[in-house]
Amino acid sequence: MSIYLIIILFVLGAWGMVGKDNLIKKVIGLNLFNSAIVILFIYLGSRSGSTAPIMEENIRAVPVDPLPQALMLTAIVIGICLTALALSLILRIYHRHGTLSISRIEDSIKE
Amino acid sequence: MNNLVILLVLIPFLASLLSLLNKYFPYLPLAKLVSLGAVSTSLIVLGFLFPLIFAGQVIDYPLGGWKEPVGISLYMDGLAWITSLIGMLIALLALIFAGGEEKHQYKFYFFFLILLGGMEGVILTGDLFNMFVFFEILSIASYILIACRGGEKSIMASFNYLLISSLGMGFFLLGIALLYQQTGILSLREIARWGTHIDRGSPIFTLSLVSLTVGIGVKAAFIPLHTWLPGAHAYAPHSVSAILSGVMIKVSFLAIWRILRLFQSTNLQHLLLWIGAFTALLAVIWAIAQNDSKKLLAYHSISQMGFIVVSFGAATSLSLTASFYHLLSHSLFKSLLFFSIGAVIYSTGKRNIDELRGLGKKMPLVGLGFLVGALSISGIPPFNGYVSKNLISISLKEEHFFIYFLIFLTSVGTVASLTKLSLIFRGRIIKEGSFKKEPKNLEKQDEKPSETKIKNGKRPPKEMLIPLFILSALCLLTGLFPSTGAGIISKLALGESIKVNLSVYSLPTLANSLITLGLGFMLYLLINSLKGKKVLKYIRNVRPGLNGSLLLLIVGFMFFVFLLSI
Repeated sequence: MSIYLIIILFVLGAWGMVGKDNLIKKVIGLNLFNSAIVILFIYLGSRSGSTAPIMEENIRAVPVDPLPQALMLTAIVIGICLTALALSLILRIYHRHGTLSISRIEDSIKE
Repeated sequence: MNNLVILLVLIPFLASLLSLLNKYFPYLPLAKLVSLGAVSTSLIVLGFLFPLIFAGQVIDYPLGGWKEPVGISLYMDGLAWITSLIGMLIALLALIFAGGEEKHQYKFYFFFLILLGGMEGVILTGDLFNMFVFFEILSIASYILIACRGGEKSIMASFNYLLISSLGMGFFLLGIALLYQQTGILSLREIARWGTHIDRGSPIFTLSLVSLTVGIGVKAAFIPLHTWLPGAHAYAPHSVSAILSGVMIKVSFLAIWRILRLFQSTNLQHLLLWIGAFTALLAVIWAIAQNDSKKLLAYHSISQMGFIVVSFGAATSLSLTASFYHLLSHSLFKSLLFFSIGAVIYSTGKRNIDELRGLGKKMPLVGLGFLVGALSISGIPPFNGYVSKNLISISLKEEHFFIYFLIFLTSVGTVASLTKLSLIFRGRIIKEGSFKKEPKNLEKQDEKPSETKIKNGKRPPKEMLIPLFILSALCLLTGLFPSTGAGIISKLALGESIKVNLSVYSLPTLANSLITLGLGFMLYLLINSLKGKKVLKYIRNVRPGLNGSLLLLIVGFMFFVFLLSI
């Protein structure tokens, strides 16, 4: 079931980037796209077990794979950096053009 | 000795921190000196490693002492060594050039060093996820460097690059996820070692490999994924253009090389043969159509990447050597071209080919540097482009004749577009001749004086001429000794010496390059005619916007998957 949700999120993100005219919505699309992949990693890691991967005595159940979780922390941080940079570039673009619509901006800087 | 490898990654990052201290000493060129020092130190470290590498050893450095299936390992083979060497060399020259360009803030050097650190990381790492992290470090630094001058086109180009490349990196991450699900390891070598247990025909394995290739392919600029490159490389500061074009796309290509060679994915490699050929041809058509001098060069970068990819796709040991030889030659001559055009734009303040004329007399040294670069890229002896293009032709001729033909057409186009670009230095005489033929109703800038004036006091400084001189010398040197060069490259890159007797300077190949030259000039005359100009204007305006670029990426991904699954 969750794999379908991940696919929906993935497609939604891609559509947001391609189909939306507003620059900020494009960045939101990028974030959705990244989240889909993050959740995919966690989902794939979670299939090997059922409890949190914490070492304790008397554990009976098999823990989930901790590696994807560790990797995704890094990926999330990188995603935040990208979002911050994208938004600051959008701010500069907005100051110059007074609009966030990509079609209007591309019309105005056509050489 | 093995510990020296980690220094290559550490030095740029530590130096970048040090360069931030410049904030407290605003009148000292601290950041500049620190970055020059860091790059020179890296070159010295590479020099120390040379004997080991040349003896065929692969240097292994497990990070933190954790061995490979658990930890991350840096490893350096001959391929990584040459790429680091050329990267650091061009970085050094770009830094010297940037010193003459304008007074860059210390932040410029900070991000430049971060870029170099990311580059070394991508080259050396043996772990897929680690590669992703270093790719993102490299990319974020390059987005900022492209935008750092703050023109509206630069910022827009940087934003386009950010969105397209992040989408690409998303695909790369997807590839990692699928591969991890299949194998449970992320280390490239471990995957290759246990590779026999993977079901290579399974659709998920194919999907993950395509995702990885497309993800990095965005940075290496194959044809459906190239859309960000012309803007980003054209509107960056000149020194940054040189390093982006000369080194960064090569490093990304090296990552593809590693992955495909380790996974022995012959299908995908064969697909790259065709993609490379079309990349080379289409990009050169767009290059001819450009009026902006730096954009023209940027399209040439895509086209020359096509050469490299084609010859990688042919996958014989000769063609792999040719591919790597061309990769090195392209690094040298493309940064040479970007530097010389950069010096022109610096001293005149103009970048449109139509507005620049006859500068050869005023800047003879820059003109000479440009000439060497132009002859190299067009494949004229005795420069390195001639050698590597001929190696590529020889390796393609027998098995893939149609692709050989496409590559030949591309060479013709390259000559024509470089002839167009050389108007900047040739100027006057030809321009007047062509004006007489043109009717008056054509829109044109004939009010412009036929020779461009240099802005007062802005002759290209010494710092700009030194890199031009060094790169010209290197272009000549690697062109004059083809067998030695190819021998060293094949030994370092493939671990074997090629057996074919290399007769690059023979009569048929010389005649071949003469024919290319002649056809190129004919094509140039053709595009200079009235009809030709109209066609070029039409072609110039066919280019996808941001939405189109993103769509092309996704469609390109699906196309790759479709081609490999049938």
